[in-house]
Amino acid sequence: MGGKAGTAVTRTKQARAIWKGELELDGEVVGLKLYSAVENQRVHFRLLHEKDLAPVHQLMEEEGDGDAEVLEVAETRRAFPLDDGNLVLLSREELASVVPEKSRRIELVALVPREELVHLWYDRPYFLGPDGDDDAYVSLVTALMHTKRVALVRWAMRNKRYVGAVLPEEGRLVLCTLRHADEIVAMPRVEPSRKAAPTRKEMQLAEQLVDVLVGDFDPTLYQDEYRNRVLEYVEARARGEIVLFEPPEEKELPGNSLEASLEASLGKGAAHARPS
Amino acid sequence: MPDRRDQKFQAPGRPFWSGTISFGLVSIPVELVTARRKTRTSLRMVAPGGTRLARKFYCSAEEKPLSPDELIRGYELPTGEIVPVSDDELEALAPEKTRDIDLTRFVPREQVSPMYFEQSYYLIPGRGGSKAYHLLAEVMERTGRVGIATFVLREKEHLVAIIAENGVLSAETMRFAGELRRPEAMGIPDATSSTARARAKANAKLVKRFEAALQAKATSTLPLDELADEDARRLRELATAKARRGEDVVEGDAITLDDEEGGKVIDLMQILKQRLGPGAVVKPATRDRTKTRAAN
Repeated sequence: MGGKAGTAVTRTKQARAIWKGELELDGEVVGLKLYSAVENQRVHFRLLHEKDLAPVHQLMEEEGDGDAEVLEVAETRRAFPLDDGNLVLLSREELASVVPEKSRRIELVALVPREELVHLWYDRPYFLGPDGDDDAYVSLVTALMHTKRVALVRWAMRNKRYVGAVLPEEGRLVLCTLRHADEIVAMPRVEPSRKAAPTRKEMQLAEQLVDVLVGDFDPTLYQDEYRNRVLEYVEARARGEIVLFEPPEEKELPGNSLEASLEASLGKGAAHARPS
Repeated sequence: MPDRRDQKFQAPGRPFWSGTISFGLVSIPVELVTARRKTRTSLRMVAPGGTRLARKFYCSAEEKPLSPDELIRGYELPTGEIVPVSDDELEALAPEKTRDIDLTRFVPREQVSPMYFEQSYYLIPGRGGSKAYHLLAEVMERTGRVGIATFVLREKEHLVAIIAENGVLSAETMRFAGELRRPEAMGIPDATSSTARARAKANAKLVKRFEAALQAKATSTLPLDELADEDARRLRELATAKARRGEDVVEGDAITLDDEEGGKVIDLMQILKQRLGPGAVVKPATRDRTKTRAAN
């Protein structure tokens, strides 16, 4: 609670494990350390009182007549909203009764083909590293690489149940938590209409155009421009500079037939659409 | 792919964004549909008696409550200095409001690690875009490629992967390279290094045992039962059992604070819509509470 927000300081966090687990395979217990793989770099703002630029706290008050009483988080209660609109109050003991038992066990649930886990399933990435036994770790990664599949695992951490996918990447184990099945939306219907089927010429042209733009995935090419602009702006303001905003560039929009656009793209495209 | 016919998956909703995918001079009208939607019921935070809580802002200097329009955002620099930033300034800094998904490169599918994926959307063809949409989807699928693009959504510029699967295009927003840590930073050994390979060879028996143990659990399809939200189920069971016994039930008062909302400003209309369910029409508040109930 409260105005807790990050700052511009790039905290080079000590890459410490956030959890330790144990995966048992054929009687061997492999100790594994879990590390977060995400470095949050989003722009954070603090809430301030406009008049004096003093930081602002958020407090909770009980609604009612008369003086509102401020409550600490510890004094608040949790309630489950029922479908009929009523609430059921739940005590801390009751809530504790439904959380998973504390355990270090990482349970292997299934070994699935990689194609079975379409991109929709993936949530947050973590790394799994050795916990004192590098040989066991390297053997595990090698074994998983040999299967050419993805291991589905289950574990309990921070009072929650998790399911994740373990995949080898660049010789290490990545553990990606997965979404729950009820969060996934089914594919929408996009059946092609027969009269709008592409001609062979259009298909060939499209293939050529895609070919022109083929390249390798280089994530370092892309930057969070918005974040950069905000940082530059506040730093300039701090220096007392006056910042002028330029009107945005007008982007050209194409409007020709598909075939004409494809052909024109190949003519012009080959020159300026080269992978940058 | 999440099949429409499978009861476990939600039905697609209506498109919430429309624009175009552009590559070269080709421009394909498309619309975005949410591909993932949290359905877990969040616990609410209430006062000890079950009554509503209100979130109030207090000035730390004057220790008095503030109204939302007395607030401004501020950015804290490394020096500790705070630079106030108004909504107008942020809007001026926000990316240009185009409705274009600018596709600049097609890369092999296997080069894009799932570590990058953040939020998923389905793309459906907009008016007049059906032929080009299917053309693009087919070519991408056949050549095993995904499109890397940028686009602006809700005032943020996103890096996005356009993925074709079974004739349907999806957009997966991606984390930037700087947002992902490198495993070297944690000192995790690389099993493909020459020293590691040598060690794996020395431990060939162990590798084989691990491989066999993994293969023993091989399945050809994803076990969806394993991906159910067990925590949510148990919580709901606990609450509904208490409700049946008439224990600790408090009359709902339409609006309560979501436990997980943290410091976000509460969008009342949003909460009302959630509580009243899909398809409900939210009318301006009336004094008559029975009207609100009838809509439940």
